[in-house]
Amino acid sequence: MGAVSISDVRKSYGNVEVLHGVSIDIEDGEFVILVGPSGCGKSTLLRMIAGLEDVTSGKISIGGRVVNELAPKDRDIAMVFQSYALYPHMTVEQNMGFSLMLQRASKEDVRKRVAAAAAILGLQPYLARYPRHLSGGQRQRVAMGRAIVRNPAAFLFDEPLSNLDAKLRVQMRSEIKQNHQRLKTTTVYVTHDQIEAMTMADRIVVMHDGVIEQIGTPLELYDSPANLFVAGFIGSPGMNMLDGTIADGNFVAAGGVTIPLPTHHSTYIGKRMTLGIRPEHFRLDVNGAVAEIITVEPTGSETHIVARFANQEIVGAFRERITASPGEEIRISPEGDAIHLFDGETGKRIAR
Amino acid sequence: MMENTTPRKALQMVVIAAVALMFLLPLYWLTISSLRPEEDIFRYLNPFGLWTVVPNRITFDNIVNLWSGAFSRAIVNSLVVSFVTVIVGLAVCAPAAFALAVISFPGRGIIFSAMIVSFLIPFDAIAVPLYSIMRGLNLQDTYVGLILPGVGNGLAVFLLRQFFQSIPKDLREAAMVDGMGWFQIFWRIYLPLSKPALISAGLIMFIFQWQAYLWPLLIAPSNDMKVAAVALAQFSTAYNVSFGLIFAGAMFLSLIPMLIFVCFQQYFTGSVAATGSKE
Repeated sequence: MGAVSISDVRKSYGNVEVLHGVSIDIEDGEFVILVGPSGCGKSTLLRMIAGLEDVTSGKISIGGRVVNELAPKDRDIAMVFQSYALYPHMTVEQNMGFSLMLQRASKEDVRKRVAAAAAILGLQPYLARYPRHLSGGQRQRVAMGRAIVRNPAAFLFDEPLSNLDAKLRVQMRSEIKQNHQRLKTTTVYVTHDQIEAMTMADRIVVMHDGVIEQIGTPLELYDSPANLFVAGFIGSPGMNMLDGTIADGNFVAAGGVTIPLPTHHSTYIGKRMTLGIRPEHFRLDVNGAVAEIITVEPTGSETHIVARFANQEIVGAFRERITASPGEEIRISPEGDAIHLFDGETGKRIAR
Repeated sequence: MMENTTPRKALQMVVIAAVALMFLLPLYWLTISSLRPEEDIFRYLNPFGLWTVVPNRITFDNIVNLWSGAFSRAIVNSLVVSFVTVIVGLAVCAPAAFALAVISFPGRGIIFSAMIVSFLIPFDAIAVPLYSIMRGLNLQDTYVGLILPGVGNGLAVFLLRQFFQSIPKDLREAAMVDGMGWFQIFWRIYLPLSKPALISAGLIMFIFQWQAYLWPLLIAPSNDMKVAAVALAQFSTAYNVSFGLIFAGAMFLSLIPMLIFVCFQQYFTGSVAATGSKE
């Protein structure tokens, strides 16, 4: 019922095209997150699904119905805004029940459904309050409550957590995910925070400059990024990228550091390549290459080491508690089967 | 508090008090003159002394005479004209301002510019051509003739438009997703959030009509339709100037808008429009 299908959607403002043909198929009940740096077109796309922006070309359908020409109110969607956009002159209860009232639901029905949503979100004590008397997190919940009471075909979230402090953000993240598991309503969620995307999504759509770079489950994106952009965007600390060439089954990075490759890539011999290594895939190895420590950042659970390796700054994350001072040298090597190879020209992934 | 008073602050206070006094002086003069017997009004001006500023004889004759004459009818006319102008004017100006602030349509910029120009043109400049239009419509000596020119107030539209533009866009987008059309967004979201601006715009329109002189003089010269400002002016004729009545009339003419101001003063505090959003 709540499947959302986007096919070859484009958006132009005047002569400037900001979305260059985007296609995504979202299944009923799926939680899909659009993620990307600011200006990538993710919010524009969400607003087009909501009907707040015109579609220049292409087709958007919700629940099997093409909605391109429908007003937002006729699309059977609910949206949570970054600024929450609660009506300041209405109480929490009125805010949540307002759309139902507009649909001419009976007073009893409105009260029941608002109470049910308030119970899910823990908002019962606040129903008579005005938004100005609520904290940021409570306002966020009211905004979600307003969406939930409508029982729409799809929820749209536009960076809903970016105004909350770090601790609350983690808490709300898990609440949103729990609510999705309970309600199983199709959800399209926009964020620029890749950790939010990784932790909450069934599938992630990585966008950049108005195109989709990759669509996949969080771990697919993490383990097999399709290109350098996705590789660099997903994961924190980010993937280390080393430039170099392939020779004799080895990757030769700047400064002559050679890294053995698990498979032989004869077609790429002599070509410019980029090797990607996630920080946790470095290990301490007495036979490894030399890395000169720049800083040591203990996080408790692991130690992050920023070091100079193959003439480049890299970050390694180690389970060991390393006590070393800046300027000291350690020897490290990448875990052979966990490296990523990208074409130096196109940035596209090459099988390991 | 006193220990915080520096000489600089004290001087500021004195200056502020002096300015306030200067503003109050004409009102005070108006009040005591209306309470004096007519022959006393100018009697103590020279030499300046205690009796210049303190009335030594008090009478309510001026006020009684004022209200027993045609002036009471004129005050009622002024009140009817001003209040109806505010109500009809807001009903016209607020939707216009909403459309100009929120809905994008071709020609919006041109219409808005024309509106700005309209309130830069002095009313006196258009009074005579407007009069011939109104006469053509047979609106002489009618309330409609008096009220109509005050209804479409460019300044009120401008003020409301600016206020509406300051209401966050997310709010109307949330309302659209919630199922509201333009009129409902205007009626249920924008109007309730715009009380201070509506009151300011209403007061502008009220004052425009309350102080109007030239237009009522042209369009409604009959005794029944005369407004207070015109009636007041007619206390001074070619042969006789009734200063007692003039001062008493002027006092009431000033008092009524002042009372209205005081009633709505509390609403002049800022807007609450943003409180539903992030801090």
